[in-house]
Amino acid sequence: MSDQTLSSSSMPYRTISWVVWAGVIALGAFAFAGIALNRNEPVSAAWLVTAAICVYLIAYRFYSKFIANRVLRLDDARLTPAERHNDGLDYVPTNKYVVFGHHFAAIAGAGPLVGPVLAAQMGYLPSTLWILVGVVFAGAVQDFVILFCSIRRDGRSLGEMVKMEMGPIAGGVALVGTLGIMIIILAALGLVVVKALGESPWGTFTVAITIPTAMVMGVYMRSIRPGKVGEASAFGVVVLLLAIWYGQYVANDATLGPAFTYSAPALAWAIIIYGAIASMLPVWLLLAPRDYLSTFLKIGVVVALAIGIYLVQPDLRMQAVTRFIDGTGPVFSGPLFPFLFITIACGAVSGFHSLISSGTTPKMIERETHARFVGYGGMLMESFVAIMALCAACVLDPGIYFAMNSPAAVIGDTPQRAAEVISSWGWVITPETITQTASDVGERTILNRAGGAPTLAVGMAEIMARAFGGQGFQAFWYHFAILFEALFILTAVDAGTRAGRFMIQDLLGHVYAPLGHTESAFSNVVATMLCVAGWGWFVYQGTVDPLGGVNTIWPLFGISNQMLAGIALLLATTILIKLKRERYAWVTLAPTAWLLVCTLTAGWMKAFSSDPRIGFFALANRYSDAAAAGTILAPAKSIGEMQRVAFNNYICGTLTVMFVVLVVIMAYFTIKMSLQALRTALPSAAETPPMVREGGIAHAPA
Amino acid sequence: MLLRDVLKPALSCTESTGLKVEECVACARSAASQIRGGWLRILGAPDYRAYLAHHAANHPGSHPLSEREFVRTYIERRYNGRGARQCC
Repeated sequence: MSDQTLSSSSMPYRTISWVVWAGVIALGAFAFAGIALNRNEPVSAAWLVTAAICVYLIAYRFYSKFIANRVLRLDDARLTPAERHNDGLDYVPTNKYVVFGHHFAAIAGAGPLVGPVLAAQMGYLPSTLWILVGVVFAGAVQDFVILFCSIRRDGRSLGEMVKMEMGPIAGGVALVGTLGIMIIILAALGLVVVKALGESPWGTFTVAITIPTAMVMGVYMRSIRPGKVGEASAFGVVVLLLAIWYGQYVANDATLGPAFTYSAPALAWAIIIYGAIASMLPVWLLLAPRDYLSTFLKIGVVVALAIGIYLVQPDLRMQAVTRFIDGTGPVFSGPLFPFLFITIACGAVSGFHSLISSGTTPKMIERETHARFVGYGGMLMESFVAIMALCAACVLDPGIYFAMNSPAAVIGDTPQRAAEVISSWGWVITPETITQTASDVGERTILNRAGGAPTLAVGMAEIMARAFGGQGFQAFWYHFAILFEALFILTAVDAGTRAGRFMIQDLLGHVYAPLGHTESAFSNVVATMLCVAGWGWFVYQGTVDPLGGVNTIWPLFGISNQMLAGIALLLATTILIKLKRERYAWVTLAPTAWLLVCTLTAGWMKAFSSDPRIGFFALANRYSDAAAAGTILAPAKSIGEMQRVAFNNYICGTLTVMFVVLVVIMAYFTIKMSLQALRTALPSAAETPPMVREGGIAHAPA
Repeated sequence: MLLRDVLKPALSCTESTGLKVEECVACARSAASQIRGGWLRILGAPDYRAYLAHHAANHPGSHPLSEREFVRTYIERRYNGRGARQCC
């Protein structure tokens, strides 16, 4: 529908619209007032969700429309890449609701689930505010603007666009940065799975079953009934539900139980070997069928959780703001600024989305104006997932939350010691409650399961069991939630390793040409192994380093992901200025500035803070000095472990510095290109020359 | 605007049907096939019917790929292409 018909709408429509929007604004204000005024009594999670939905509606209706019409000037007279290159395979003009679903399924993963759960240690209020403000002014803007830029450039990728608009050096820097974040992201996701499945035969069994299930589906869809996705997926979903149900019997079985019980380091090796093999198997066998399964579950869970929160209306038991905003929290250390803003990446703003917005999505867009709904709207939807994850973490007993998310170095590894430490922080909890919670969800222990998945699973299990099935189903829903996260993490590990392989081949090709040939089996194996070794090293160290784990790697992930967002927004700013729309450059420049301030501060603090709980180098020095002096610092148990802690932290510190340097280089190129563009009188952005739809009139590019 | 977009196809359907049963059935069929195609596309799964329609419209006279060939090419292109496809 074009804006022409909208603006000339009849009077009654306008009146109705005015009344409806006044209502939305009033409801949003009411929900926020409810949250703000009930500071001393529990607030229902339904209020939080309502407030969020109102903010999304208002932002979509007003801010995204402003961006679409004034800043980007979307033009339906221009043919989109999908129409110009329609090949029935990659480029296909697609209904906008379908593109929305596709785009949402591609951007939503474990990220928006993990970040908010970790950030909940500071209370629900700071996290909620950052998720909402971040998505409206940064995250959704980034996804939308990058999608627009890619549509205007034949669906080119972020890396290619950086090269076109900012030069080859900036392009190379962006490629290295993207590879870095890919490695870190895979490591963080891999660790989440490992932490969730350690010593958990029920969980390990159900996740292991997904592999043969997907393979049967793959063979079915390729050879038995080609392309019958519905039949194969129905089979897959039924098998998975049965596997979750029978998992409890496997776990209690005398022979099968121990066969599926693994320690975290063993599982780390398992996922490393899995990643190496899976990413070299043909895509139809494992990757594609499991991707369908995971998309089914993803959409189903998001819908079910939203319904569950409204049906149950659970109270938020975490405080609005906890004392850990001062930086002494056990889940991640560091004060609210800047660490909250890098811990919650996906859900507020995620650089990784710029790769999707310049990947398959721009090749499916039917009309330029749909980019608003798909790009901006899709990110609002992801933010909604983050809000629900935050709710799930905050409806838990805070004592349980801290028991699950604090590292063993802080709360020990017995329920007695954990209850003692957590009660001393002011959240009174008994060892019995901890043991009872574990047995309610069918696990032996819930201690030290940082990483979001298990916490979310307990919260979800509580909400879902109260909404559907009753207490007896809590263990079922817990393992359902674990399976659901593991499923798309394993898919991401597989797909991410393949993407990382191409990037490594791109880079290696510059050093030694034959290694850049993507058809060469030798080059493929070398690049895959390098990629797996990269993330696998972090996963393994996260399980054996007494101070390592999700709590260490997540800040690194946040910094690199927000850095990529910074690069994407810098590109967007350069393009706006090159289009001679510097009047509106603040739309991308303001979030860029905020992200740069956060990532550079956080990067600097993570690397060079003298507080060993925050600074990588400070911690490394402390341990290597002590090791040299022959003393052993807890929780390390030997000189070898001390040296391992020191070495790991030197690596993490070096990576952080590298990310900071990359961002600074990109900022330099943005300033340089922008100054150049400001001096020229005509637009200089390298858009593909427009082709005009029959009967349409393209607007002048200025 | 969102609401009107959703209602438009449904409304146009009721306008054209009147009271004839065949038209209602045809309308429901086309709606079902649209939902099926849309769902496949959200999943990123191959949709052979859509491909045949595309082929008939754009390359009349040449032979389209068989369903088996199409499914293979599609999955290979989608998952073994360069670039990121799945997010964190």
